Amino acid sequence: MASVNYKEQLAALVDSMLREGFLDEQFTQLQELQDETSPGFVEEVIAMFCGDTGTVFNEIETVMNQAVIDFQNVDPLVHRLKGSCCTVGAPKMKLACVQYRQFRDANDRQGCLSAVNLIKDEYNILRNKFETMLNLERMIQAGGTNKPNGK
Amino acid sequence: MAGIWETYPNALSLKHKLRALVVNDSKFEQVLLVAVLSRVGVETLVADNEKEALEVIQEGVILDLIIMDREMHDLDDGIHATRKLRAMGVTAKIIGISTEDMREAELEFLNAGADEYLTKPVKKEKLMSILEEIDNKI
Repeated sequence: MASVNYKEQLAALVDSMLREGFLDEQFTQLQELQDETSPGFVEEVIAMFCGDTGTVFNEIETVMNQAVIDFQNVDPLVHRLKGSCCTVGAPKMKLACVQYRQFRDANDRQGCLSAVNLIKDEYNILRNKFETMLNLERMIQAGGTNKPNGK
Repeated sequence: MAGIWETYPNALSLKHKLRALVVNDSKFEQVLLVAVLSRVGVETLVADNEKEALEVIQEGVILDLIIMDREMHDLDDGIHATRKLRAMGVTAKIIGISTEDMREAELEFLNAGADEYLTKPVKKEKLMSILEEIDNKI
């Protein structure tokens, strides 16, 4: 059946994201919160995460486009991203946020710039994988089941 | 990997109807904490910032648990809010949360009046054990 195949694909995608460090156990705990009473929970969470992150990146962009970048204005934004990464279970993106902090502590402006770009890169990869995940979720939902992990 | 809801069938059965307040400027983090708490029947309110948290108290709402994010609009908003809530006589259990996994961060929150400090992500198991503790003390 097609829906069984989509469930397998979704399970394989999540497994690979866990193995490769794009996601961690926190994300699987989020998945467990989805049930009959909240069938779209995972999608809602991912949409909120991506929306929030997009907004923060816009604010970072504004600061980075200044003639002289004041990293004091970037700090709380990256901190916010770090919080979101922890909450959604995105360790690679979180690590990039940690690296930014290390460069800040070392007063390494070039390092900070690289770290911000790395955070963006990690987010873009994650977002693409989330899109694939959500497409599979929707196909599974259309098939009449609401368990995101193939159970 | 089995999630907590499968490891503990019937998850957590609280004897009392608890009420919690999540103070966090991230809607995303609010939604997740509300989902976890609501799952075990905890009535959960949200506040986006210190001001809204204080308004909840001023309205006379009795709370059992407050989950306070440290960094909201300003980096120490949560600590400031905790201090104010305690000064207002709030006796609810206050859990400070932050991404900072440092003893100094923990001490700051505890000195401000928080009962516990957790680093993000807040683990469901820990939250459940805190709820159980509150429930048993009533």
